[in-house]
Amino acid sequence: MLSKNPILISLIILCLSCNGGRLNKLPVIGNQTLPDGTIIPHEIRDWRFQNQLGETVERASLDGKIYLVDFFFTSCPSICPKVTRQMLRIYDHIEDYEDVLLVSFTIDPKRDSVSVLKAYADNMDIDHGRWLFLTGDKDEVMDIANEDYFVAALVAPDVPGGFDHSGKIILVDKKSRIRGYCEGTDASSVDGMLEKIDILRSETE
Amino acid sequence: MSRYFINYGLAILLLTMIGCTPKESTPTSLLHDEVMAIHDEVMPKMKDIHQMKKRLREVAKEYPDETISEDIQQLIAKLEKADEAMMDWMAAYKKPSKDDKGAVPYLTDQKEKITLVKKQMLEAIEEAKNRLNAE
Repeated sequence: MLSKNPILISLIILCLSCNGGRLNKLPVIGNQTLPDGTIIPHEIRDWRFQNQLGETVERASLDGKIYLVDFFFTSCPSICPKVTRQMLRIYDHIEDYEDVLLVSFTIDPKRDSVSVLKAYADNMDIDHGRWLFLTGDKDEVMDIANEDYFVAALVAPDVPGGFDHSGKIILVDKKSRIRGYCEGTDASSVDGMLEKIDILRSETE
Repeated sequence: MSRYFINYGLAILLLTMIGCTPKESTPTSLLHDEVMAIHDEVMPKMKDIHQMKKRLREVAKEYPDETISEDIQQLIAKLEKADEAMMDWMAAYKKPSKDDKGAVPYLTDQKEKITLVKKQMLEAIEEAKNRLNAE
């Protein structure tokens, strides 16, 4: 039957030729679409902070890399330790991926100095080049969390929370576009993020 | 055969009972949960504090009059103090172990402290909101 039905054969070939890169492409989050159809891309502003080694890190230095972001502080009594545990899972997953790294911004720069962040990172036995712990001006951190990485905005309306208590982990692509997020306190949500990282890495665009 | 099924069924029942045993609530764990509930309620307000500060700074720019500008600066300072009070509380709080004999008085004290922090934050936000609404 199949050999006598060229239309069916064509449809099957068309479906099979839809490769994973096209079907499984992650959406770009944050773009605005105007009434006339113009798309205004969302951009993450240029920022500059210090990492746990005292080095200045600029947002532009992450261009060309995929990175995952969370906002935390070392003395957090509730959510942050859970999120950090999940970030460690992500760290293990990306260990061999040279194009992916983790970026954790502290919202308590008064206490989370460079030396405190270094001790925190050393305690987790991680590669300082693959997981950046950044400290700097608190108002600037809050601005980029809310306005650029949409940490609070990604909270569902019926979920109590907001900035910081979302425990969100944000996925950013090589062109500094937000491509996904997950609940950092939920292991199954992080499972989904691990898949998203692999999908993003396989995108050719 | 029937003995096999009876034993199998009993084993399943036993495993289910073990798996479904509810987590034991102690006075310590209950108090800790109460402390955390207040913390969890107020933590998101830190975003509100940040936004209020930003908006107040914008408003202050519009007033060359030092008296008005100073009032706004005082509101900003109140917001910052409230924010800092929350950060101070979180840095100092240490969850006690269930065997810690001093856990209940410690947690009772912490509950009072975080309640005061909550009051400080909400009041600062309310004052800032009222000032901004007057614009």
